[in-house]
Amino acid sequence: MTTMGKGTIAQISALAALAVIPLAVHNDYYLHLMILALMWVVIGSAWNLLAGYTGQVSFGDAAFFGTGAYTAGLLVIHWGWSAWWGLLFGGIMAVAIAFPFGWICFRLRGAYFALATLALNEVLRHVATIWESFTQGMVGVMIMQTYISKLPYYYIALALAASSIIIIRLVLRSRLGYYFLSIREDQDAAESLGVNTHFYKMVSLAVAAWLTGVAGALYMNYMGFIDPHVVFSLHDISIMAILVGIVGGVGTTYGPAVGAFIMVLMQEMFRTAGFGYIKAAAKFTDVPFLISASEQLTKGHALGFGILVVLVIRYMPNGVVGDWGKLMTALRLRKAGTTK
Amino acid sequence: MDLFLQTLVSGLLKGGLYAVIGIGMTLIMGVMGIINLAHGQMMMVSMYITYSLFAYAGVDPYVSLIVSVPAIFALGLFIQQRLLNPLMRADTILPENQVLMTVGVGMVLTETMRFIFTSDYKSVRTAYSSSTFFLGNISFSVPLTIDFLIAILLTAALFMFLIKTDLGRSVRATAQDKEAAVLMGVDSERITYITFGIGSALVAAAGTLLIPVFYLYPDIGGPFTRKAFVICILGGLGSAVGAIFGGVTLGLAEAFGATYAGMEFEDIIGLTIFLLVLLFLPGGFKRLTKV
Amino acid sequence: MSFFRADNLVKHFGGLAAVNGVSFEVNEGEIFGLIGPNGSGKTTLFNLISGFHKPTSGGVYFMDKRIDGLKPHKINRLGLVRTFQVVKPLKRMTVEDNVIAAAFARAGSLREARQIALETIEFCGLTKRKEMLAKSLTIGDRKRLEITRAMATGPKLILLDETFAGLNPSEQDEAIGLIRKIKASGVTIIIVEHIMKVIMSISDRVHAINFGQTLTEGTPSQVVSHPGVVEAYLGEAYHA
Repeated sequence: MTTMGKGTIAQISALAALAVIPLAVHNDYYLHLMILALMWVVIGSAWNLLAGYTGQVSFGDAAFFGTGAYTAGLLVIHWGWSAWWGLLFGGIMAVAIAFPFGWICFRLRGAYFALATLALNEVLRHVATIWESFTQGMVGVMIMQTYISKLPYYYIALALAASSIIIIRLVLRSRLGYYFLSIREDQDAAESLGVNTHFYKMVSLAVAAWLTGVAGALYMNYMGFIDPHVVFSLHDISIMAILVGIVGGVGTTYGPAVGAFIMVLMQEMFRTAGFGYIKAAAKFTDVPFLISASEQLTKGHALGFGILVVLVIRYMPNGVVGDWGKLMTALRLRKAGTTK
Repeated sequence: MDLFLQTLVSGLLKGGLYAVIGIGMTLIMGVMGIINLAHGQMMMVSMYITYSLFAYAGVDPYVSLIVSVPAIFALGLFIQQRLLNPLMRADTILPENQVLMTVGVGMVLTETMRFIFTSDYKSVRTAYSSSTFFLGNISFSVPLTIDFLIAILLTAALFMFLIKTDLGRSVRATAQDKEAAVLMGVDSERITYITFGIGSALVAAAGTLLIPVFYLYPDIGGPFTRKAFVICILGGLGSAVGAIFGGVTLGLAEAFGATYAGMEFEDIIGLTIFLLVLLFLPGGFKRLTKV
Repeated sequence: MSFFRADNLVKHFGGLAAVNGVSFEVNEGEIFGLIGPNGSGKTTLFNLISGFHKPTSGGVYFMDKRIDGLKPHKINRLGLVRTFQVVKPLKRMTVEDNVIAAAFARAGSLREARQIALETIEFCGLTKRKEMLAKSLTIGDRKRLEITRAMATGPKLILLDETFAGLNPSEQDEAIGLIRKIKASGVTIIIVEHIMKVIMSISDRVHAINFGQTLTEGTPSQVVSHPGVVEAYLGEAYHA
C-alpha cells in the first residue's frame, strides 16, 4: 500500500533532521514546542488508527491521556516510584480502562460511539476531581522533574513519535491493517468475510489507548504538574487530537505527524499573537493598531482557535495530506484538474 | 417526608425547563440526523442577550424573549445554511465531521462571549428572583414556577404546531422517516431549516427563562449541551414526548442526587444515566410512546 | 454426514411468519437453486441460513454442525460464505486489497494473502481491474468483486444472493460461466434468485417457495412444470 525508494529516503532524512535539531537550536522555548508537537504526533497517530483506519471516531481520547498521566504521577505520590515507570504502566492502565469500555460500547455505531467516548472522558474527569483521597482532586499532582535540561525529554518524545509511526506502518501492512480498513468500510461485509469485528475493534482501541496513555505519562514526567482540568480536558486534549488528525489528514500515515506540528504552531501563534512578532512590529513601526491587535489576539486566542476549527472542517476536511492536491491547486502550484 | 416532597417539586420544576431544552435538540437530531453539540452554547448566547438587555436597558427577562428567541432562531439558520449543509455534500472519510463542526461552533460561541463579557459570573436579579410561595410546607420558587408554566405553554404550542398544522406534520414525518417523507412530497430542505430554527428558538427561550435563577458565565454551555443529550437519549431521538419524560427524569434525578448524595454528584449522575441509557435503552422512552 | 441441511425453519417478524417450516438438503458439489417470487420469504430464508438472522425455530446444519445462531464470522471460518444482494464493496480500497482482506481468512501473512488474492482475482476474471478503487467499478464488476472476495476465503459452500439482479444479458452469461467454473473447482453453491432463466440453466436441483412455505423441489424441468410454480410465476415465466 505504500512505495519504497523515494518515500523512505524522505522519511529517514526527516528523522535525522529531527534528531539533530536540539544540537543546533539551543532555545528552550522552541524545544518545548517541539516536544509538545512530538507528543501530539503520538496522540494524533493513535486517534487516527482508531478513527481514520478503523472507522471508530473517538471524542474522548483525553480519557486515556489523563489515565496515563495520573498513573505516572500517582506512582510517585503513593508508592514513591519514579514517574518514568509511568511510561510502562500508564499505557497499561489506559488499556485497562479502554477494554471494558470498548466491550460495552462498541455495539454503538458511528456518532453514538463518539458520544460514549465523550461521556467516558467526562466521567474520568469528574472521578479525578472528586476522588480526592486518591488523585488529590483539583489540587493536582506535582512531582520533581528528573532532568533540568529539555534534551532528554526531547529525545524520548522523538523516540515515542517515531515508534508510533513505525507501529502504524507495521499494522497497516498486516492482517490487522486490512481488517481494520474492512471494518471501516463496511462492518457487515467484514463480518461475512470472517473478520471478528468486535475483537479487532478492541485491538485497535487497545493500541490507540496504549499509545495515548504513554503520551500522557510522558507529559507528567515532562511538565511535572497535572490536574484533572488539564489532562482530562475535552477541548485541549480530545478535540485537539481530532484536529491534529483532521488537519493533517485522516486515514493517512503521516497526516497526524504533519497535523501535530501545524496545530502546535497555530495554537502557539494565537496564544503569543504571532510569537510576539506582531507586538515587535508594532513597536518598530509605531502603528498603534498593531499593538492593540496583538493584545486582542492574545486575549482571544481561544476564539481564534475555535474559528480555525470551523474553517478547517468546512474547507479542508481531508486535511493537508489528504487534500494535498486541492491545496496545491489553490496555491497555484499545480494546474487545476490534474491528479497525483 | 417534607424533604422528599420538596426535592420532588424542585426536580419537577427544573425538569420542565430541561424538557424545553431537550425537545429542541431531539427534533434536530430526529429530523436532520445532526448531533448539535453547540446546543447549550446557543442557550448561553441567548442568556447573554437577555443579560445585556437587563443590565443596560432594564428590560425584564420575560419581555426580552421577544428579542432573544428570534435572534437565536436567526443564528441557527445561519449555522445550518453556511456551516452544516455544505458538510453533508462533502465526501470525506469521517461522517462525524458534522458533529465536529458543531463542536467548533460551540467553541466560537463560548469564546466570543468570553471575549465580550469576560469570564466573570453575571447574574440577573429581578425583584422576584428569590421570591417563593408556599403550598403547605413546600416552598416553590416563583421564577421557576413561572418558567414551568411558560414551558408548559411553549410545549403545548409546539404540540399544536406539530399535530394540527401541515408544516408540523411534515416535520414529524421527516423526523420519523426522511426518505418516505420526501417521497410524499415534503420539501426536506425547508423542513430542516425550520426545524433547526425551532430547536434553536426553544433553547433560546429556555435560556432567557433560566437566567433569573442561574449564574451566567461563558462555560455554562457545555454542561447544558450534555444535559440536553441525556434528555434526548432518554426520550428517544426525534420524540418530543420522549424529551418531556427525559427532561423531567433528569430534573428529578439531579434533585434527588443533590439532596441525598451531594452537590458534586449532579454532573456524574447525568453522565451515568447517559451511558446507561445509551447502552441499554437505545430507543429510549420512545418505545413507550408514539409521537 | 449431510453436507448442508435446513431443518423446519420458521421465522416470525412480529405477527408475520416470513418463513413457515421450510426444510431442504444440499449435497456436496451441486448447484442448489432457491426460487420464489418477490415477497415469498426467500430473502429471509437466505438470511437465516447465512447467520444474519436467528430462526424462531428450526435449525441449520453445515457438515453436521449446527450453525444457526452463530456469528457470521464464525460461520465463515467453518467454510460457508455469503454474498450480499446489495453489494458491499470496500469502497476506498482497491480491488486487490478488497480480496486480500478476504484472503486473510486462510492466510497467515500478507505475502500469502496477496498470492491467494491474485489467484482468485485471476480465476474470477478481475485481473485487469485489480488496481482500481472498488468505488469506481461498474455494478457488474462490483458483483464480480463480491464473488471474488467470497471465493478468496476458501469456502466449501458459497451462498449467492440475487447475483443476477441488475445485470444485462451478456453480463448474465458471464456470471453463469463464472458460477459453473466455481462448481467445477469443487465448491458447492446455493443460489437464491427470482429470475427463472438463470436458475433453470445452471442449477442441479431447485427448491421453490412461496408465502414462506415449500412449493416443490426437484430438477429444474420438474420444478418448472409444477402447476403451483407456474401459477406463482404467471407472467414472469422465462422472462429474464
